Amino acid sequence: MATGQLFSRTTQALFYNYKQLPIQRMLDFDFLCGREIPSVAGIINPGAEGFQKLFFGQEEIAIPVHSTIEAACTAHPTADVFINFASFRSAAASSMAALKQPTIRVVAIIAEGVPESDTKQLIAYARSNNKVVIGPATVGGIQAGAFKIGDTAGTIDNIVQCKLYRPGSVGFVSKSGGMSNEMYNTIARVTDGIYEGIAIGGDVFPGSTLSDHILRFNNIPQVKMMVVLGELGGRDEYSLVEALKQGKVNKPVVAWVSGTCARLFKSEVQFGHAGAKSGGEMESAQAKNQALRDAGAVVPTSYEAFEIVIKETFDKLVEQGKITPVKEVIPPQIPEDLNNAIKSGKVRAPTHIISTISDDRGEEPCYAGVPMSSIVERGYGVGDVISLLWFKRSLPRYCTHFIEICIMLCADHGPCVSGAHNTIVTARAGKDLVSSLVSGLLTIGPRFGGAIDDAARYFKDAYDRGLTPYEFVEGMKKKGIRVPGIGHRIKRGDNRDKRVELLQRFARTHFPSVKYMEYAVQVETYTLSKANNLVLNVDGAIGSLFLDLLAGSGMFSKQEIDEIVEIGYLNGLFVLARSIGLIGHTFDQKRLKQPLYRHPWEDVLYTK
Amino acid sequence: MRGLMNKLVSRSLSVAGKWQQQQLRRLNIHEYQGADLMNKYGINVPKGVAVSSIDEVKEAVKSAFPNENELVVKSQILAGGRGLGTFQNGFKGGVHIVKADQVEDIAGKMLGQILVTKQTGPQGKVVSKVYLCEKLSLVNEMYFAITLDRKTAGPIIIACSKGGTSIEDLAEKYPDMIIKVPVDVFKGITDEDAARVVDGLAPKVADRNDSIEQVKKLYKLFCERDCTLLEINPLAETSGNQLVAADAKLNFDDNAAFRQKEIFALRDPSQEDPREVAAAKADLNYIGLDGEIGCMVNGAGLAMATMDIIKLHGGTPANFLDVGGNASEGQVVEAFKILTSDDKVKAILVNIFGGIMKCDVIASGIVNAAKQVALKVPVVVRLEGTNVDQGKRILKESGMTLITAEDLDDAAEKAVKAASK
Repeated sequence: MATGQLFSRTTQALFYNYKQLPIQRMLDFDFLCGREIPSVAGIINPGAEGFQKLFFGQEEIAIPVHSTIEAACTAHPTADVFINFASFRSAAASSMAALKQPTIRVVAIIAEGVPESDTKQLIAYARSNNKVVIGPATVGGIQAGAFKIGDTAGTIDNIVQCKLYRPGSVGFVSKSGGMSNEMYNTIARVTDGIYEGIAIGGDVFPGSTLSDHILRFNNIPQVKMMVVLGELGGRDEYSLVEALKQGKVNKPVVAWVSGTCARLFKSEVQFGHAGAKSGGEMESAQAKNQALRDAGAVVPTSYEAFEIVIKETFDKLVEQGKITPVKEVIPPQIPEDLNNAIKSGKVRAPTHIISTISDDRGEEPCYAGVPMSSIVERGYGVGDVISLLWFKRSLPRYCTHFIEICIMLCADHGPCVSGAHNTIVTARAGKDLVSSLVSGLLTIGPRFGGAIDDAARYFKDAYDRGLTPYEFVEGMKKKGIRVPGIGHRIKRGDNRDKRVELLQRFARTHFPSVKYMEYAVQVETYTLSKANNLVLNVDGAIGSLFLDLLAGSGMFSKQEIDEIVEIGYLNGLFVLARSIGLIGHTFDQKRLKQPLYRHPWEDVLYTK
Repeated sequence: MRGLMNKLVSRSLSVAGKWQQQQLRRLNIHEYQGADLMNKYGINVPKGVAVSSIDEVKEAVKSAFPNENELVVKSQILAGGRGLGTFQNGFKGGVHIVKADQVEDIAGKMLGQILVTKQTGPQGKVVSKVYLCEKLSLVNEMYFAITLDRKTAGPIIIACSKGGTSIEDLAEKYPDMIIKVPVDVFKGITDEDAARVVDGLAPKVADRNDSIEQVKKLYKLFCERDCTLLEINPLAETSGNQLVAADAKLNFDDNAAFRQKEIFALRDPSQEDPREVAAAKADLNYIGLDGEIGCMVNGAGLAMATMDIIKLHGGTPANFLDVGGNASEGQVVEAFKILTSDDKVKAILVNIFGGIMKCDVIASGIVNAAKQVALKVPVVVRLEGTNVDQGKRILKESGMTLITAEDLDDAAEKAVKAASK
């Protein structure tokens, strides 16, 4: 056990098991104290490496993350405090590993519930190697104005209120971490404040004891008096009694042992802390208070009187001229976190992304303002969802039904078309679903599947300008552009595409107007007169009918329709639909366990 | 012969008591479970069978004790004072030594009945199993214990060549006969350590090497099962020259529950305070007591200080309840439910210091909790720490009839006053 100061303004720690808040609180404390270097040198996160971004004052700093304790100690040889936020299951093993590092001097164990036999090993090792263990089951400790372990002293507001940003003259040690927060407050009210405060933890066998720290405080010249808060149970307070009796402590000690109420109860009672159980008479709070009093400590008659005797003891030291007045400093303001500041309405900040179609912040996600539950309750189909997310409005059922028919018709077109072919080849190369899917999707473009938008664009332009089919087709021919939506590799005028017929029949029955479709049919009639394969294909049918849907539903302004055609919404339908088929092809190939595809030589014309 | 008989009766009675004197929050296991565990480790224990029905009693007497004239019949509850206890059906005594043909009758009067002892409280505890044991004739009694030691930072074995009474008595009467053998926490027990213990026990008839093996087995059990205390008192020698753990007390480290699943599966919730079972489910640190002021506090240390001050003002806490440093609103609600379900509670004292938690968060937790639970008794609240003003305002604006207190002293005084109305 060290005999003097454990920490200084340059002490740095390694932090085991990344926890953002406690580390940020340590760094905020550093800033409050005007430390030049952050008190956390490195973080150990088993299995992870890299950096964690945290704030040091106004600056953002990157603290290195190491995957092992050994690596962290090698990288930061001057960091001699190990703050262990591991769970109670693994705290003992990681603490032992840290104690065995030559660079580590102090290990603080936060976890509550470390098995006692494991703690015993830590204590035995620390003792024979002159190292300090604080905890387990502790919040840690603090040296005012210098160094703070984890969550000690709570929020920044509390730290400022307790003046922990600059050293006072009081050394404090307690078992309870929660009570240490309350006591820092009390001590700041009636004295010049804390020099160092340690919570040793509530376990039966703490790594370091009340008396260990009192004896250490006795050797620190800046500490002028000590305050001890003990608990019933255990005999730890008696080693302090011994030290006092032997004259090993020559500064005033103010002490109180909690748990005087335990006598009221007949049976053994354990008060939260594993060590705080009412046992024999010796371990009672009353007996300990009396023994401390007899040994020369200042012991009040109740916890409430604790504050008074602390004040009296301090005032006496002031009278004796033993206290050098503390230089009061005004701590800097910790810059407020943006999120908190926005929440409290103090600042405003521009956003970087804007979104208008869906909102996941409430109790349930909303698509264009319609909550998920209504979508389910009203029996919406996928066409309705598309109308909400793509067009930001609820289209009439015949429209959404039409969208669904388009998707169903375009979902697949056999294994030989370029999209499915690509997907099959990719799946057989052993690639995953997403790779296989996008490999197929990447073929969609002007030559494959992508003609819907163009068909809509040209039909719309021609119809809106009042061109006759003759003028339109010949005009295109002059420009050297094939009319999109017209022509099929197999289908003929006397063998029409079944899909086109289905779409046209549905539209004629349900759509209020099919003027664009009629125009497309007129164009088809003209092109068929030129060649028998220049039929209206499925792209042309969907493209023209979608124009009828947009114009005839009365749900879109002219400007909106232009924009929809311009942006290329309609290809979206084909991409979405064909994804269904491409996913199916991927699964099919995987299920069939097809090997790598290699195109046969015989099928390639090798030539110069 | 007669003397031995008497001794056996009193022994059996004390067996019942001592198994049970374990702390509340430590795992408590039944006598037969402890014996079974020791048996698994090759430690000599009196032969016994636990039974839960008359059919099982018949079967056990026939198959396990065909040659015994007399057997010891012991009620299995997790409380001491069984020998002197009384069943609610009027039957007296939770432990009996009876002739083999009477075992069925006596066990029948115990099974399924409620046994009231001085440790169970008036509500008693249900006997769902009885333990049938062979009757031993003991020729020598010694004391043996293993615990964890502060000074040597490791396990320590305590042995005494006298036994049968408490270690405190032994320390007073035979201080020179008690030996302590610390065991190196890293190396474990050596043959030399075990031999020193056996020399300290100084058995009269048992074989020395066998005894050394028994000590090593006891140590093995202590380590492997994360015991915090293993006390064999008496460690006895039988007329058959055998070393037997005639009575044992086993405490297990709660902290090791995660790696001692088998041991902690022995927990018997039917024997526990229902308030504590409910609190454990909500992850609250709760201990039921007998007073009239219900306490809800964050942090074990503050809870203790709170109870002290209540006592100082002449009140008695009805419980210890630590909601923890990071209590959620749900936990606060559960805490209120447990407090208000206790008829003995005449007033509730809420004492919160907002260190890591903020007072406004806690205050809204209290308000929401109070809305869900019908509050029949006055509630005194003392808040201190971060955002205390916001917290107090939330309480004030809630329209709840709360008694607010300035400091801990004031809070305790008001709570005691409210409870006595």
